[in-house]
Amino acid sequence: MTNENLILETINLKKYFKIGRGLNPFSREEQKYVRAVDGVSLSIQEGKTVGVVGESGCGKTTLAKAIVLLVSLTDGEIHLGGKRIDGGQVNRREVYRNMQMVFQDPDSSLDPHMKIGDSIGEQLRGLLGYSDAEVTKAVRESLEGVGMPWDLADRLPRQLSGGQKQRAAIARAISPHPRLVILDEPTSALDASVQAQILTLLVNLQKKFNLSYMLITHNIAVAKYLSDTIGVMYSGNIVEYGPALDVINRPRHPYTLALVKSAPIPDPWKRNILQVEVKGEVPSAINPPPGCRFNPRCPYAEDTCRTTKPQLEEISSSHVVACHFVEKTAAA
Amino acid sequence: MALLDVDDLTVQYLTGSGLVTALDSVSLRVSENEFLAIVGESGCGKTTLGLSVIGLLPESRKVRGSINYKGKDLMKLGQGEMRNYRGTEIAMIFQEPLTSLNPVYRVGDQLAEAITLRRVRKELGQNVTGEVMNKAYNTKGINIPPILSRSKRSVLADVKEEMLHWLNLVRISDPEQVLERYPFELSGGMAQRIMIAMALSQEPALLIADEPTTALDVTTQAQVLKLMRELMDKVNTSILLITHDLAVASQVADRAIVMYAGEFAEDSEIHDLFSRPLHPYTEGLLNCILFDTKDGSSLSPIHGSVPDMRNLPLGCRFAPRCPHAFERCQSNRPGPVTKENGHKVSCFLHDK
Amino acid sequence: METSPLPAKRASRVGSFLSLVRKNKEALVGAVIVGIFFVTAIVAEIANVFGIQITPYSPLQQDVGPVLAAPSISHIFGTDLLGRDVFSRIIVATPNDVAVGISVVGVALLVGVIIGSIAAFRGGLLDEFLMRFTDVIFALPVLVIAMVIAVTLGPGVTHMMVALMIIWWPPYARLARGEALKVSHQNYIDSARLSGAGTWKIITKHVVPNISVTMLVYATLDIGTVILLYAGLSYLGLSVSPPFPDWGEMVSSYQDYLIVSPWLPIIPGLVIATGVIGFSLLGDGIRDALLAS
Repeated sequence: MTNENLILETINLKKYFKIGRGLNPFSREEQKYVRAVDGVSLSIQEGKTVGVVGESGCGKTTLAKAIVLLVSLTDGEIHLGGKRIDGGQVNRREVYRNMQMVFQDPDSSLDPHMKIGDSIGEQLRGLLGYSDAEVTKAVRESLEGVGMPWDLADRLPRQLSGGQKQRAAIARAISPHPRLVILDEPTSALDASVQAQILTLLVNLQKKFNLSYMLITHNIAVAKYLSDTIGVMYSGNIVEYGPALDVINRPRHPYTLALVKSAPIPDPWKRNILQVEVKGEVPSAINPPPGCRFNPRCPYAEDTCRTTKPQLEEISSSHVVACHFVEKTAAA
Repeated sequence: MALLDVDDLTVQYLTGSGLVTALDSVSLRVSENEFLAIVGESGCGKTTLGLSVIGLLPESRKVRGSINYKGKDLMKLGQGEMRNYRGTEIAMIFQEPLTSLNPVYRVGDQLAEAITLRRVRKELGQNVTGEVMNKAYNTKGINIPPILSRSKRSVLADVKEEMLHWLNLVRISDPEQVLERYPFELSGGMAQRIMIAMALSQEPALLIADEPTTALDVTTQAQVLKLMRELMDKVNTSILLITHDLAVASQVADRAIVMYAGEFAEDSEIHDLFSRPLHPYTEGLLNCILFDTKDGSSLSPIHGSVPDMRNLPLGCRFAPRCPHAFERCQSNRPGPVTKENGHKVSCFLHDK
Repeated sequence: METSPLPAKRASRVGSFLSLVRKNKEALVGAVIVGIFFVTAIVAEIANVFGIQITPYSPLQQDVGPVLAAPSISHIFGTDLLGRDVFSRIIVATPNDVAVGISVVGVALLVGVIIGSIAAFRGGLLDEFLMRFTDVIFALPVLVIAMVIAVTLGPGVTHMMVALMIIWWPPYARLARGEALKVSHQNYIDSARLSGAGTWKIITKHVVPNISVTMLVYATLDIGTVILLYAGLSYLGLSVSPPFPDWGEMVSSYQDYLIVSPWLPIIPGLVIATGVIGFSLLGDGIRDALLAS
């Protein structure tokens, strides 16, 4: 059942990409699929941040693109503010008035031939039908809102630093006053000091406009900083989901445990990295291992893990984990 | 005697907008069996420093100062003489492992080439000269791996044994199979580990690693960093790790040098750096580290941004952003001062 | 990682373009040559439309001087087998080659960009279809097409222009598709979709400006090639018929006099070559200027 208080809800979202056979209808090859997203259900409440944490190849970027309808769904549902948006007939303008996205690479987020002001104004013109005068005024306000002088509106992207470009991208996303902003690795390409500035900005904007965020990141510290709830994604599935502090401080899925332990702690007295025991690499998305997809790398794997895929089960209030032997990580 | 002694190194690049100083009077010292991290953000000159040591700076540059390796000034060497050190005494690995390997040759062939060259070098004496190359590639001499002889596919047995030894050392599972693979079939983590194996197979005294784990996933990064730390002890090499991530430095380094805008800011033993940062920039960086949640946090970003290297401020380069700056900082540039424990810093706060 | 911001003054693109052209002497030579050809073409065409004679002699009038006279002060390029002033003929023929060169490339650019962008952004079957269609057109031999048109519709400058336009665009379509594909992966395209823009709006607003550098570089270098090709068709008699002058045709009519009066076939040939070189040099210069910015 969909809850109207939820800004975003995805139900069993699946996205498979076809590969191999090309356009030949007579080909004998079996159709192979890249199961990028294989049944993801999550929800975001108003004014809250859900962090989706995972490494490369886990499907988090595909998930983000599917939610903003840039990629069509193979299966599942997406509800925005209580209304279903994944059907073909949906009014995109209305959807995008309520949902925007900030992308990972600030260098490719802005059209190199367009002035910053025009880039920011694009959402306003396209979605809200603003006139030139209205756009100029709104762009000025947006730039000030992200802590940049408004005369930057006349500059070209190559005249801006990475941090400034990312602020412009944030200004563009916030300008139509959406209710939900998807943040795809918003600070991964930035230096540490700039990252701190951008994250502080995002928190302030969230409080000011009561924004909901979906944060995609591979960085545990960033996820912990911004998120209220965290979902850990591995090979197309959410393997653990719960309140941010619970998931990070008391990880229960073996993969989450490995992820948290691998994140370098800035503390020379606590050299956690040197104790990490994870082996192997992220599995192929075309031929994932049978049963639990993490089993080849899991130090606790047993026979059941190799045959049956675990489902998400509640281990405490609102904290779910997909693992057959969750009790093994309780001791770690 | 220090393994590497960089003294007052200044590097300037000739660009369209004139001479840009990428490094300004930077000095550092690496001892044997030491893990040193060079930490800094974009434009601080850390990559330039790495390239200077190994002699891979682009043509259009001016250099001053000296880089002493085992007592010999590398700056005074010609290209040919530098080749005796590059890849042999001093090795380097880069950020993008998949572009460091030649895509048209198998992994085994490339690793075998490295090992064979080293053996021939040892056999003929230290220098990598034309004679060494001739002997290594001479079909009538030693048996050589396929990369060097296009017709033969068989590899000399003990070269293969050594290759497997190295691959096991860098924790690659299924090494026999990996030897047959092409670089594009490898993941980033595996490729980087193979690069480490190739670099270390030359038995260098110094390994320079320029952001080796930035392009890797965090679990892979942990594996590679742990490997580098372990290998350093096993293989008797010093490591110079270039990184923008203080957390990474804190996990593996013995000492860290912090750089800002082409200048030296602070040089300290790693625990000392974290417990008693002397330079305001280091302090600022430590405050940028995320420890907590948005509600509980005391995240205080450093105001402003890194200066334009073409338009540097007079005086201390960090002064415009420094919460403790005073008059002297605006007009004079501080030089390095040594405090207790070998802790060096370039800041007037500590130079009274 | 991070890039430092550039100084605040607005980058003047025309200013930096001109300064680069100035720095590059070859491009300057090219620009001068192209300038001369261009101005001559325009002036000659206007004069032609209004029936004014701008040349020292009428290009069609015979016996304005001794037959097969060598170049002299009164006849800069000499006279031909019928006593016509060669210089006047060359001048009057200029609009043909210049117009063909520029318009064929212009049309190819337009058609190529449209087909390539649509193929890149729509993808799937439409992409396949458009690209195979492009391959088919690319396979058509220019000479055969030109001759077919000359035979069915008759010879002439316009007809040859049309013949070339029909088959000249495929490389542009392929290039545009490749460049458009690169652009399609940029995040600002996704952002444009999130502003409600449809495919066509994205193509015109974002794709075209961002592929224009590569396309223009290719186009300016291509003009010389088209001129050469057209001169070849003209040489084969597929373009203007005598007595009207055209550079290629002149080479053909005068070639028998190579031993007796070598300047006769050589001069039109040199003029063609100079035009081609001029456009090539200018194209190189534009490429260097655009790529440096």
